[in-house]
Amino acid sequence: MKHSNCLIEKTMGLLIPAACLLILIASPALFSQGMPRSNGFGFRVSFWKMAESEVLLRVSQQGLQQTVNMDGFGIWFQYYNRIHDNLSLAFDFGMVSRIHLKSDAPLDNDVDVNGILAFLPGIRYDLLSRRLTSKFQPYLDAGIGPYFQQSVNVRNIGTEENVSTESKYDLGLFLGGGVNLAVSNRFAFNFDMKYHFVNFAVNKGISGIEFGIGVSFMWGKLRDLFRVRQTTMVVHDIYPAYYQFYNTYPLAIVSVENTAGFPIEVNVRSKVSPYSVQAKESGFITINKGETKDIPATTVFSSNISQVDTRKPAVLDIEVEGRAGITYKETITAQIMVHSRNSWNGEVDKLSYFVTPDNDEIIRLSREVTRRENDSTSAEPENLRNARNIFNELVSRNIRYQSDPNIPFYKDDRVQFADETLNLGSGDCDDLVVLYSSLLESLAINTAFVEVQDPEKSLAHLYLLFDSGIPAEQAQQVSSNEKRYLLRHGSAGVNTAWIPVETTLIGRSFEDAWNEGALNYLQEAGIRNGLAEGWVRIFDVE
Amino acid sequence: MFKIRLFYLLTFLAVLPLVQNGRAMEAEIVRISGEVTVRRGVEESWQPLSLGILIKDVDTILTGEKGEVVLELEDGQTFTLGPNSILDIADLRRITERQLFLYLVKEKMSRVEKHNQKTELRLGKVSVVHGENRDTAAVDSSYLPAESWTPVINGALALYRQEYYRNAIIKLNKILDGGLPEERQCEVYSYLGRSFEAINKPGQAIDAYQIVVNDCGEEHTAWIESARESIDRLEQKP
Repeated sequence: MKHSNCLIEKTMGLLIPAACLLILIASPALFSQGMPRSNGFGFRVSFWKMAESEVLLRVSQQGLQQTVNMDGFGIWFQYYNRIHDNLSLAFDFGMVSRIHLKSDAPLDNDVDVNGILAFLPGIRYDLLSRRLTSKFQPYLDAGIGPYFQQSVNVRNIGTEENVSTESKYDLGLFLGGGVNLAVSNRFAFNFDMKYHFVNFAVNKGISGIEFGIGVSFMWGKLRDLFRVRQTTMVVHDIYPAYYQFYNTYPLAIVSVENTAGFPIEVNVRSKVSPYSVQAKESGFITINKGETKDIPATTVFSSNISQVDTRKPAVLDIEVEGRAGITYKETITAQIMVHSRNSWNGEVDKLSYFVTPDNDEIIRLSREVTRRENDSTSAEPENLRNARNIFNELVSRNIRYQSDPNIPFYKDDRVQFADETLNLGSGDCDDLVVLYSSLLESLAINTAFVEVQDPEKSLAHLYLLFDSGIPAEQAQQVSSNEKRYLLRHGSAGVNTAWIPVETTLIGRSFEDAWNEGALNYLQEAGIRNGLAEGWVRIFDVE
Repeated sequence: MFKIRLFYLLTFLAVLPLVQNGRAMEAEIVRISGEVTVRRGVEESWQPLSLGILIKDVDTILTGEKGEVVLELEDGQTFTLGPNSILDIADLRRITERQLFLYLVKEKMSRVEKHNQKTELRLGKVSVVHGENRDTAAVDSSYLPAESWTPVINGALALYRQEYYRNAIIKLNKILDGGLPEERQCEVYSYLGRSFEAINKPGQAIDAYQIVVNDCGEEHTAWIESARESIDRLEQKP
């Protein structure tokens, strides 16, 4: 028995410093406070140092005398619900034990078990603004409610056992505070400290300070930092041929309003599955209190989009992330149409994307022609000679004008890449312009598209200009008739003679195509003032 | 730059409904003396011109050293082209003040764009590297002889003298943009100033005269003196 008593005493001797250490580490009670989500459920273990309790634990070994006081250990549960900004309603329910064991003799035991049940509705107020990025979030809380005490006393004297029970009800309140350690916006550790005023007594009965440590799980809506006022789609249709254009062009504009009441940082990331390399971020942009900013949503497409051969819908995913201490995200989705690789929306400045001077087949053909037709004795300017030979090669290959196919319910134009037109042997005006431009550009001859949207005609038209490379002062080398060329800024930084070619006349000779192009340009751009009035436009292939 | 473009666009939109669209025009040859030839459209060759032939706006007339031709236009007016002159029939089309304005704005814009291109870093397609072919024979950088411009300038002056001032302004501007040698520029700028003055555009007239005063050499004293007098006269006007 002596040995047994010694063991108990040693065990208790370890428990006391362990408990003290625990209290030291987690002096505030752990609870789900100050958290970003609207609802939370917390669990904690606590120690309640009551006024009338003597010591935490005492074991005396004098003869057979033992005394154990285990007051104030308990568990608490809490549910909270945010009602406004930093203010939440909280409901605490706790069960705290008071156990007194006294043994004066082997058969004389006095066991007093006293349980405290408390239901304490209250409020909690987060002290710090959400703008702080710290994971530590201090708060104050208070509550009022009933404290139930249920006592059971078992007294053994010899073989006689007396059992008595007693119930008691007190009203009380608590004041406290603590700090959260947020691991994520769904989980946190919490350190909490409360002072219970049971029966509204300050230092009497079971009134006293309580320390706790615990965990909290949260769910529900995150605190609003911002509001997405509007999402304006800028691009509804993606044309794979110029997918790189969209890498810097916004697909949508997201209007974000700061509702936090202090400056926040917002990042917009977006992607089009499965065509985006990865979500592209706008970078964190500061939005001041009450301010609304338009943030462009862009994406980086991977080259696999250029393999799309039929029109198909895709989803643009936009995620708006705001941060100011906490992180708040909102997602927006929109449908976007990905067209086939040959689709073109009719904007001539985009037609350059179809020009492929680096295509193997194009390079092979243009070089073969220039090698075969090389005439070093010719006085004709080199670019003009090469352009003529390339055109004649296309004529000899029997390339023909052919209108686009009628695609039901599809209004966009279809443009063939240069190698496709070569292989198919035909194309419409834009296909032929793209083919001829690709071949000339592969020989480093600069080209430009002439778009004619004649107000007196229902259909727009397209033909090609190429740079003869001959400076304006020597343009007579190109032609004695200055109406057969136009002078414009060339790549060399000087005005050079550019030659218009009506590529739809591919079934005839280069001379015919040149004459027709020159005549069209003369009448439409010059005499009819189309260039000044804006219905004749020139787009350099760049 | 953007503002300039916007201004241009807005101006264009504002005047667009008012601009009289040029229609294809024709002229009839009513009198010919000496050598007069015509070049049809974009053809290279010149053909002799004869009475009664209808010529179109895409055509060009060239008179020899002793040639002269009188054209009757659609509105019944006649136009005389003197010796050693070249004229595009389209240069006789009726040009409204707004069309002239559009043309001048466009010219100014293109000059601004050219100026900017010199300083702008432009990254085109990097898949093609444009290099210099060292085997290519050096291009002859000589200008056309000044006398080659005489028929063109005479054609423009014919427009001025027969009070086609707006047409003359456009033609003279084209000549200046076409690489006219410096020794002929004083004369052309002087007539450009006179044409502007004739249509009551003193500001633009002074600009043209100022170029003559500032840029022309001593050999053009007569033009410079005339330009100075014109500037003084215009500046004294209320």
